[in-house]
Amino acid sequence: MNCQEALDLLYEFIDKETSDIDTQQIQAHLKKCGDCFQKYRLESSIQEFIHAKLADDKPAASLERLKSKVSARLDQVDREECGPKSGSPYRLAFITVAAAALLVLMIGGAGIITDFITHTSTYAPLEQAHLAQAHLAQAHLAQVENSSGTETEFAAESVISLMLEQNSYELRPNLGEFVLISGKTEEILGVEMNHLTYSSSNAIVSVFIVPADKFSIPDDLLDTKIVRGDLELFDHNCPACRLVFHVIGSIVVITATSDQSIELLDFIPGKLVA
Amino acid sequence: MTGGTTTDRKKRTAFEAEALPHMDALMRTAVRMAKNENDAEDIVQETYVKAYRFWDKFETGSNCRAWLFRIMTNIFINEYRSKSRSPVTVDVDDLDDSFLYGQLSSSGREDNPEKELLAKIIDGDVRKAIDELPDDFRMVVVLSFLEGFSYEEIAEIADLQLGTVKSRLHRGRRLLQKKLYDYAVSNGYIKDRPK
Ligand SMILES: [Zn+2]
Repeated sequence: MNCQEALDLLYEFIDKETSDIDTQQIQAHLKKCGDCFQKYRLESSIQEFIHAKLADDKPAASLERLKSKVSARLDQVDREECGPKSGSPYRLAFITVAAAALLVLMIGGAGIITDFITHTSTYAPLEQAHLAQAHLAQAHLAQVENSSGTETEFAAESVISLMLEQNSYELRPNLGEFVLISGKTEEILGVEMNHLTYSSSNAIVSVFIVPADKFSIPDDLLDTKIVRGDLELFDHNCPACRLVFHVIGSIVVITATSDQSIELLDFIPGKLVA
Repeated sequence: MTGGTTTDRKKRTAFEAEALPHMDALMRTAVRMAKNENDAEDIVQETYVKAYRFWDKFETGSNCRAWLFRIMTNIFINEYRSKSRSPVTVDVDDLDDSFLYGQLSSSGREDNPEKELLAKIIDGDVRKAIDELPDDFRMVVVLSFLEGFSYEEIAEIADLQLGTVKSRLHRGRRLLQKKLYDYAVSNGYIKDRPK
């Protein structure tokens, strides 16, 4: 190994990332070449120096305090996940949700039913609407596959142009393997929402769109906030049905799915246009 | 049959035993990534909440520390980096690999030229030099220098190609050395030598 070859691998050698053969050859070269050895020593002592300084640099914040903050946040996650709350104002909704869940089970939604029956969250009506639609959509899918699909496409397109016109929100008709298959208006949680359905070959995602002045993010989700560009996301993740609330401009876009294999945070159905 | 509190408790206990011991490391790296302790605390909290929600996706027996760092790096990239993202031009190509060596070895103390410099550099200088690195470089440098992750682990954590990790580390090192040298000169620790 010559000087250039040894120096090219110097950082990797210091980081212990060189192969056994390279390591032996570099060691042999450093033994006989004073110039390279000096460079090696310089680089590795700077490396050690920086590591030591950084590792010494303890944050002023108390770790104990941070631990208790984290613990409180975990408690919150534990609570929000589906524990039955007696006297909940959403009792009625809860019962219908269970009924919808049964439907899903009947059509092969499987898996989620046990968790879902005990589920009484604030967002239950949204989940119920999603599940009912998922049920319909699955029944529809067989039809859509066998027909030209013009009817559902037409419905979706009208919602796309409505959203663009009213909110400057440009919905994407295709999202990866998901295709927008239908759209309707529906009253959920006392507000009229546009409810769109995206479908892949084996999963359904609902998208609800509601004016921001008519719908506020539930309090218990406020600290799940994630900011991505001009988009604020709030995440409700429980085993029964995941909901992600997107606050964007003057609308709130809510995505919902009971399929846990879909990363809903990455499912962004549209964007604001100037 | 319901979800059951026993299962929930088991989950919480397992999570706390596996994940909480890494808080120290997550916090010190978060501080270097975000460059301030308030954001760092938020990032660490978000990391634990997210990890807890996805705990069933963590494969028992695999590297929990790397998994947590992956979640944290993701949060940093998505939520914090974009806040202050400005186009950064990094021009290190004019620095040759042995820039510092060249500068120091012409100082006349050929036997151990780095000793003099390193003895004078203070903690604050290192912190400042790291903080001034562009986000993409700082992330990789901190994961390697501070946390000792392997190139492959860093590639996994930061979702980068192995080659990108290597080149960012390489350039990050050269930038760091240049900055440390510049501080040393401007603080009068050492005298500059024309190249
Ligand atoms: Zn040599």
